[in-house]
Amino acid sequence: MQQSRMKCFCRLLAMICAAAWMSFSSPVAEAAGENRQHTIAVSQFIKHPALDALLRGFMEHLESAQIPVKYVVHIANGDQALNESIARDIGAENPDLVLAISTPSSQACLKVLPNTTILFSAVTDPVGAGLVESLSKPGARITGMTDMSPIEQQIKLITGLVPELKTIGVIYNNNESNSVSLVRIIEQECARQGIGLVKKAVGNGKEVATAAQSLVGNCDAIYAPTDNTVVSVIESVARICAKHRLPLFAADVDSIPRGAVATLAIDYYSMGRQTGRMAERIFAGEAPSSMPVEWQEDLRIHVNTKAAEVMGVELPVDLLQAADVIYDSFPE
Amino acid sequence: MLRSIKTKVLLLIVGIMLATALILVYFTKRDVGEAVLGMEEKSIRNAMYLIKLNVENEYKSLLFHKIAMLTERKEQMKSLAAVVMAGINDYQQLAEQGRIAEDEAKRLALDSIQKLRDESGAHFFVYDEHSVVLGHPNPALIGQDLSSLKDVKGLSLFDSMLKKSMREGDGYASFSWDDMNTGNTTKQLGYFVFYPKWNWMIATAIQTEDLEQEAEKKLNLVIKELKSTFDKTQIAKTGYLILFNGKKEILIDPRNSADALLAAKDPSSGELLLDKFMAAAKHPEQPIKYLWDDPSNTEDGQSRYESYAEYFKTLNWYIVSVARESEIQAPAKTVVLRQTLFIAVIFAASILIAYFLVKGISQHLKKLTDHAKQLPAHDFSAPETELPKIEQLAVKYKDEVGKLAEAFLFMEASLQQYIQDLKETTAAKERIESELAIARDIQMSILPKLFPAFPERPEFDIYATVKPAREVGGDFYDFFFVDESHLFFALGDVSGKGIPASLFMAVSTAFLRASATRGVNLDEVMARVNTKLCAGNDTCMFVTVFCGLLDIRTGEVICSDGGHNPPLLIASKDGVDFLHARKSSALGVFEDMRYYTQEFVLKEGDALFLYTDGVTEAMNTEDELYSEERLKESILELRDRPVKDITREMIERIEEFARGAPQADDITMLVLRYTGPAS
Repeated sequence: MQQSRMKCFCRLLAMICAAAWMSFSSPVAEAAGENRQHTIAVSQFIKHPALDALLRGFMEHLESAQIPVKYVVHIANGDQALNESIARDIGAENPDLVLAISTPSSQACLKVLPNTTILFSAVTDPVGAGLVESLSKPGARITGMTDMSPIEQQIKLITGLVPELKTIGVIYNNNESNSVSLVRIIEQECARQGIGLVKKAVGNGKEVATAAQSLVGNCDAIYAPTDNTVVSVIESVARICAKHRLPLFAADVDSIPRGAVATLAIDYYSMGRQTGRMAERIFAGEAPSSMPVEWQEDLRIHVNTKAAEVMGVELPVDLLQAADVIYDSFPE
Repeated sequence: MLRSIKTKVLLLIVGIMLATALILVYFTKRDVGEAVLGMEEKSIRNAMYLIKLNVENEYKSLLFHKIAMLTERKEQMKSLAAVVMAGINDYQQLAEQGRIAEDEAKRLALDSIQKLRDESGAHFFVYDEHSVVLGHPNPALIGQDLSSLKDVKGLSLFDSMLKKSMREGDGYASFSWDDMNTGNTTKQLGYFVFYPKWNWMIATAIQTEDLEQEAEKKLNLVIKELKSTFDKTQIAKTGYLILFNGKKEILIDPRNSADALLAAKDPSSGELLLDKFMAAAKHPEQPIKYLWDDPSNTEDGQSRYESYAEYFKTLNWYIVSVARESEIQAPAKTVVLRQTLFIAVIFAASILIAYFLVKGISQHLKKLTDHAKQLPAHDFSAPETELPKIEQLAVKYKDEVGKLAEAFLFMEASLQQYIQDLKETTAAKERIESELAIARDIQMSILPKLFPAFPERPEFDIYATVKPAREVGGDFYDFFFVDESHLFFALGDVSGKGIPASLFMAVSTAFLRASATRGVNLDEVMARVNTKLCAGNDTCMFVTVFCGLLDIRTGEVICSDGGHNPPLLIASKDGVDFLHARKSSALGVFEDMRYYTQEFVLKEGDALFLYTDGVTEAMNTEDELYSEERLKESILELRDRPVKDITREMIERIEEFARGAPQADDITMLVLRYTGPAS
């Protein structure tokens, strides 16, 4: 316990330094003295490109809005115990706003911090996770953004690209409540579209490759949901899929250059900027209770031609036409 | 047959060669055959792989072509939109300058937009922030709220584009548009720009069906190009490649037998060939084998085929190689056959060479054998008779055959020499033998041989015999009257044997005869003979002599013993005993020796038995001497027999005793029996 606190403290110091540099980079606001400097404690459950992009978008929006902010960033490395201890640390820091990125971080912060305003983001199912009572009327001091994937469209995209698709395989961490919620929705959607679903639950990142291997031959395509564990090792899944010419589809755009064929997804960077706008509104004095939970307005289609080639997916013109970004790279 | 070395060696060589050839053929068939077959199969797989790479490249270029077309189209739309925006801006400027009213400006702008049609088929429309259409080429749409129109992402097209354009300035979207005139749903690509001064969204839309068609055309071109590649690609001797897609549409078929191919079934399983190929594509490295129609096979019109299948999943294409199994295996079979033939030729040549080689060797051996067989019958004493020529073998060959021939020649030469020598020796021996025979005759003629010697003298019987060990001997006897009443008798033994002894014996006899004359005393006779013998006796020979003088009127005997064996006195009344007279030395040893005499009387019927040491020292095979004891016993048994019988019997007994052992010394006996004065 003592050790993990030390680790946490070290990380904290590093973050403060980074934040200090960021605050110096907006000297105009400082000089004007119109805006008081705000303190934002960030609790991120795990480090992976989508969540990192979200945080980057958030910070860049506030920076472009010229709002001086001091950040204290905590990353739990996917460790639930550390996640809770981070929440307690944040309580001691007494920030103006807590930005909780991902469902576990949001849950821990809500449980541990009784009075602090919490802005969450990248939470798949805020109601199911017990964060808000309803999407339109969240709670007294909490609101945020859901990253609920457009699962219906995603599955349509997959069926459009894989002719004669009968079964989809899905890998998820059943310890992540957001993933469990997602899989439930995927199951319903597949049933509605008449597609079979093979679920492979894993406990950690090391089990993902084994799960992917076990899906080979049992499905016509693999769908990687916005599961933090799976997305963190998406390259290993991509390699297995390439070897067996099994198309891999992702639910986030950052997985596309990392080896997935295509996605129709939330752009986490955009979502970060949108979350930043919500923070801006809170700092402007708007009450979180009156701010409904927002959903990413912009869906993006990202395509990887190289991944499509190695996984044997023909990309029709209309998909390429609708694609916002086209990649041509595959992880070695 | 099996006994000849030729056959054995040939059999051995054939055996070894055959075993080697069989092993070589086996390994050739196994390893070389498999390797060549593997190479052939690998070359097919390589051809397939190259075709697949080709397809992949074509697909890639197709994809890039699609993307390039889209990019071009998007740029085109962007520049068109810029033109439109510039037009709107002009009207807005007019309004702002107060030349026309703003509503008028807006109306004019919308009119111009509605009429605007680009040759590429692009059209333009305008809507406001509430998704209400303000201007559109289709007037029926004007005034309609199209917020329910969704793009391919499932978002509200107008709303999401408004937000995006407000945020980022512009945006692209793909959507389907139901054409009100035709009722067809067309795929559209839209470029949206926000015009903030009037809060207008200006959209440029274009149908993209043509892009699909162009891509389709391009794909057909790819297939056409592939077709020419397929035509050039040869699989085995007459094999070929076919291309079909997952819907079982034959895309490339160099043999133009698409219909036949579609219906073709493997007669052994009844399975459709295309299904078989599709299943085989899961294991591109493993060939599938099946029966199929083969017009070139006149027997039953079917042949076994071997195929490899590759699946190009991206385009859902199957590439299949079709080749007769026999053609794939042909190179391996040819190589194996050629190798086998090669080995067989080497085998036959080796056997032939070995045959001649062995035949050559055995021929020489046979020549030598024949030569050897003739040798016993060959007269080596006649050098002019010719034997088979083996000299050339010895000269021509330096190997074992040559050495053997040399040995034969050497043996012949030696034999010839030996026989020559033998002949000469035999001639010499024969000459000597004849001379010896003459000498013997002469010697025997010296001795009195006529018996009864004195038939007119009834007073005594005398008989003597000599049996020399060689042709001539050194023993002698003699008897003669020195006057009317005195009979001189003597028996001697010269030292040594053979010719020297015989000569010495002749001399001794002559001296005895010369010396034993009337009136001379016996001791004087011995002394005279001794003196004469000693004179000039360089050879140191000597002679032992027992001699006596019998007065035939009285039976009185004077005797002298010159170193001789004691004679046996056979008394008709008292038995037999050795007569031990006083011994003198042998004659011819020392000059001036004195010889003693002794006198005794032979009664009527008594006899004297004189002998040489050839009797007592006769040896049998067990090296036993006949001995004086045996002699005495024999004479005792024989004492009453006539004198001639005694000597003859004694010779028989000695021979019997000797039991075949060679006679070592001359045997001489003399028996003198006094029968009493004449009445």
